[in-house]
Amino acid sequence: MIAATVAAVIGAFWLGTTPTSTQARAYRAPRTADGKPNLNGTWQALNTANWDIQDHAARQGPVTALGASFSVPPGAGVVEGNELPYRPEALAKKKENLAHWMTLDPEIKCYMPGIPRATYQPHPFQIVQTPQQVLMAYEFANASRIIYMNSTEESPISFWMGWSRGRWEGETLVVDVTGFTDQTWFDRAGNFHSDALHVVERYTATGPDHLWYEATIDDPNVFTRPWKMSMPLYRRMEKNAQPLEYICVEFAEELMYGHLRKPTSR
Amino acid sequence: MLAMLVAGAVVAAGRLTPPLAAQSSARPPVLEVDTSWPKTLPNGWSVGPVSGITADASDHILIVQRAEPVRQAGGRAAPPVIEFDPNGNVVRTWGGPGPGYEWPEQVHGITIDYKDRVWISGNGPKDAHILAFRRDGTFLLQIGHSGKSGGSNDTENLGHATQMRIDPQTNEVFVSDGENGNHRVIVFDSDTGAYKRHWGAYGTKPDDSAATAKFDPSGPPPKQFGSATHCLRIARDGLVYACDRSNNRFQIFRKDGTFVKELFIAKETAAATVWDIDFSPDQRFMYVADGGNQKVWILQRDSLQIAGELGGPGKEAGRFATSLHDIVVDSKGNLYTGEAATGGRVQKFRNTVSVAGQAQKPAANPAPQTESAAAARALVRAKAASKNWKVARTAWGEPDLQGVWSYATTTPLSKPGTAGEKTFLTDEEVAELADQTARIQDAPPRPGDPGTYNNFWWDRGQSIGRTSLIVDPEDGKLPALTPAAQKARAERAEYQRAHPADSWLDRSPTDRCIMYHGVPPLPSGYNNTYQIFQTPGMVAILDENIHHVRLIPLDGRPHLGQNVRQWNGDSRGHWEGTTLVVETTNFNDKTRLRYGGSENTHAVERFTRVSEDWIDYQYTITDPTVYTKPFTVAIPMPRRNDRIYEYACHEGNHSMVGILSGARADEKRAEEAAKAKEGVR
Repeated sequence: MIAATVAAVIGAFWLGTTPTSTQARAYRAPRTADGKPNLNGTWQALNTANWDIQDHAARQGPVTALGASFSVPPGAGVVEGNELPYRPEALAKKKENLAHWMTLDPEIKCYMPGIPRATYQPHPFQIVQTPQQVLMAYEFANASRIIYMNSTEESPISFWMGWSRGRWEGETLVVDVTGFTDQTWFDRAGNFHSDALHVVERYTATGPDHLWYEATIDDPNVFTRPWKMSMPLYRRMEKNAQPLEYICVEFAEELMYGHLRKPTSR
Repeated sequence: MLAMLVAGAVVAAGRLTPPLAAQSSARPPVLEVDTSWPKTLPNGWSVGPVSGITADASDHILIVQRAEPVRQAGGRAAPPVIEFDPNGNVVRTWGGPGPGYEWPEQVHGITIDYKDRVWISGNGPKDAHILAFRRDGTFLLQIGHSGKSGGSNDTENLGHATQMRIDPQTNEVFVSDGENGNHRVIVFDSDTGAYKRHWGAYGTKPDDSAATAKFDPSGPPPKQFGSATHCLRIARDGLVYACDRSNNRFQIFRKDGTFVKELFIAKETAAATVWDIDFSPDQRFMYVADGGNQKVWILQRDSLQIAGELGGPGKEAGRFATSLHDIVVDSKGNLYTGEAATGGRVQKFRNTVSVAGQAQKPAANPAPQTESAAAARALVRAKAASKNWKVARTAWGEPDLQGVWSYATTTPLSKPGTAGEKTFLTDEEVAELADQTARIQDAPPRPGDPGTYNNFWWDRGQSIGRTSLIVDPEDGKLPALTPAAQKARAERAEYQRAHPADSWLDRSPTDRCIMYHGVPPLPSGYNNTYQIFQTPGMVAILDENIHHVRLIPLDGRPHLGQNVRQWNGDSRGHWEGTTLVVETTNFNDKTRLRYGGSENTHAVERFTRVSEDWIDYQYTITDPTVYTKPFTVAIPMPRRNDRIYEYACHEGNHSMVGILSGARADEKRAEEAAKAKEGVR
């Protein structure tokens, strides 16, 4: 973990986009009835990390017919230090994933996106914060997870959205997530993990309408050391903001089962 | 048209069932609406708003009603006071102006006392007096004078007095005084009219200038009675109950005006909820008429715990269409109700258990033994019955519904033909059903059928002790389909027979892992589990299947625009008393829930925590495109001390590939067989 801390500090220095810890500490969030920072609300990332968590230039989209409308937008990465410490064999697999993205990315099939990807998909999510449990409800695939606060219970089996245990560290909601499958990815660029993934998330309000989100990723099967990503999350300010229904199964069925339909079917 | 006291207007019977687990020593009364009472009025008379109702020692029922609205509507108005015998026949009518007294501008209360005197009060603009008559209408006494009201500390006149009760021990008349007038209880000698004493809320001196008309449920309890000190009732143990209608509470005093305690009823509804009070014959239970929510609450009188309720808004018999205004209980425990406001009606709810605890014989020509939504509500409240339980509240004051709750049950949605007229099941029948279900689920599949889980894997829950989940309509059956829906359903069935699996579109949303139990849910074989989360302004319901989260704003925001259609609709919630009411619209037309559904589906769910371990869960579906009338489903939900785990359905949907591959293989085999046959020929 020392390595992670060092990397994070260096990352912050390099990128200069993270608020300093002093800034984060300066803001005291409104409190819930039990005296904890109130993180309730509809939140969304505003970046291109779902395309690629690392730095990336704009590029041609995968569907020629969609031209400029659905090409890949450019973006500065969210990984501190930008480089991902892949093991050599894992890096080869990442490249393979990228090359066959359209057949391999679980997002395309409307599978639950896992953590941290659910946080920065281009969809809002809702935090429903109660003293013992925090529900996070994501728009994409109607995915959700319950964060059990101050729990020592280990993950009983593996889950697409992981097994989340939370605690408060001052202004920060810290969520320790284990119990993942090896089926989810970090982005559309093929960045991936194994079922040994261990994510530690930190949610800190930096103002009434902003959260600072950090996720430390540890997966010794895939990476040589832990690494960290961070980004702001924005409160959806519309009066009627709410995650809507995005049951994307419907949009993936042709892709997944089209070869099994009767030629004369509707 | 005004509601009338004509037998032909009677639609159906409602019924309140006994709590199953309630101890017989403290068993709430079992009441069912008796549509045979009253009989059709003579002379083509109609009644207007029934503002007062009272019973004498021989169970004659007297009402006072307002004739003016009937006249204005061109109807034949009955005289103000009508006396019915126990069979519902009119035996005497009287009332109106006469020599020696001032008839009220607008009648309000009526009471017949132990000396057979009939007392009448009024709440018209100038009414500042009460009147006593003999039973035949002969004038006896007037206290106060029309137009002379001097406020809540005037000892000679009243101010829109609402109700009077005479204490046989002291021969005093206690008056609740009044509606949009005074704010007090006042006591006189009932023979002479001499002033004795008076008091306001909490037994203090009333102050009209400090009384507030508008009740703030989140504020401190008002120090004065609100806009209507609306009822008064003296119990045999000497406690005096006074309704503070607009403040959603009643206060209890001793006869000398000493304050004892108060209770708010359905406080958050912010409508007037406490209109009238009466007691069961043994006085262990009390009834509170809630003309705001159109129901009668049943409370244990000692603990003031709610033990049940009956009614609910509606024109049907057993419900209350307009202001449920006044109630009375006769010596046999039958309850009578009077409805005021736009139309008038009196109804009788027969006590099916005699005072001695023996079931009464049904009437010679009984009303159909049918049930209403109140029945199931009573059922779950009964399961819940826990004497000292008080609804837990969140830190910000809302009833706390949080936890994991199960809507699993083997009870079918619609009553099967085999159930006949039967509505309720005995404990033995419930146990037998459970055995039967287990046997069926453990039976080996038919040859050629791949089979499914055995009983170990299913988690269907138990029967709720009824033959159907539908509690309204009364027959427990899904209402008839509209002709258009019948046609559409037949066409769909025909298509489905011919094309069982041409593509995934021919499979159910469940097979496709798009939706499972639906909103509102119908139970299936497993994972019939809700987890409810609450934060200020938002309720979230996580449904185990298929990890679906329903976010329900409580902030009064409008529904999504009409063009946004969702499989699970769009839900908005609000509190009515301790009940969370959730309205869902914006469904798409593809939901194909087991009860059908179209874009016009409108669902209203009601969640009421009735004990530590039970939520009374009911919902009403209105969909004029599919069903000829609305229907109401009741699924009592017990708490489950368990967790909801992620149910990844689509991610592991090997069945869809299997179903489609199997269908294509069958087609190929059939094609080859046909070719082979061709070849042989």
